[in-house]
Amino acid sequence: MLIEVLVAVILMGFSVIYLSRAFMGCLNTMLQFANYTTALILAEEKLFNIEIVNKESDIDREGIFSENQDFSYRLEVYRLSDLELNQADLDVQWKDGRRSGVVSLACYFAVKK
Amino acid sequence: MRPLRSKSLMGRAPLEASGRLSGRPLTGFTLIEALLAIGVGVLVLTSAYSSLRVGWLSYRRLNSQTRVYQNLRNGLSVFAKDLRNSFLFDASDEHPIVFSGNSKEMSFVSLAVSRNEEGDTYAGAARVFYKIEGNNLLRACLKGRDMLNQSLSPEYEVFLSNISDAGFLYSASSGKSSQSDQLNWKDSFEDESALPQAVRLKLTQKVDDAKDIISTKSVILKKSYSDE
Repeated sequence: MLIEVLVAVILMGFSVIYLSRAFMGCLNTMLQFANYTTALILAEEKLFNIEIVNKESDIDREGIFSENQDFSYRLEVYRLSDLELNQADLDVQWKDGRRSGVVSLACYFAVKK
Repeated sequence: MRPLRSKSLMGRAPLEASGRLSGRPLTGFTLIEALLAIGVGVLVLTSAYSSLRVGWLSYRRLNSQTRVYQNLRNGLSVFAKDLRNSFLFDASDEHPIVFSGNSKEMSFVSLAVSRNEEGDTYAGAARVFYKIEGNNLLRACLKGRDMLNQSLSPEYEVFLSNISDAGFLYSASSGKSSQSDQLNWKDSFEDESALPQAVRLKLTQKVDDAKDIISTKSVILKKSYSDE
């Protein structure tokens, strides 16, 4: 009888653990989606600023978004040698508890003369 | 499992074989064992319920947040597309359709996708209206000949909802100069001969049980960006 009870308890324990893990995974995915969407909107706005500034020296390379302080950005700009273009690689990063994420976008803009 | 005997629940120790009922030894739980089991069960159920409730509340919060984000991204995408397709409409009559806007509403001519009777899609000129009213951002579109009818009022539809604060800004700097610090954002635009260089929408949306979503969307109007 004890063995029957133990097996039943163990089975139920495993099912509860896996169900809760699936539920938490679902919540985590939704949270990541929300953060990812926020990062995309922030990144697009940042790329707009880069396109408008259009001058390497005037572009901030690192910082935190003022409207959403959980998100930071890092920017690398380099000249494409064959073309009269600059390439800007933008990483928008966030940290939510122990989890972190990053969205990477690139844009090209004409070299300012 | 063997059936419990009623006496075993009355606090007696496991009974020795008495043979009184069936001749088999009587076994079962004592009252203390049963109470302990019930107590442990209640504790387990309570903790499971509370964690499930926390999870459920998180799910509801995240679900409403996700829905707002989806609508926001779709809305901003349509908004940007409308503005990027905008152009100066040369009506050559007494009532030219120009780009006009203030902090709460704007209207302009853009390209809109329509479908003819055969089911073919085509892009045609349309007058697009945006208006911030109450907690909503509204959008309306007058297509084809309707946009030339000055007496026709647009039928607005809710474009984005749950907005606590929003406003349009316009940059009208001219010429080739396009540096950010020279972008002069104003809350109204009045120029019958040109489009703004860029338009910015700033909005704050409320989400149930979560912090507000603050977003900014800036769009360059390519046609006004040319050197012409």
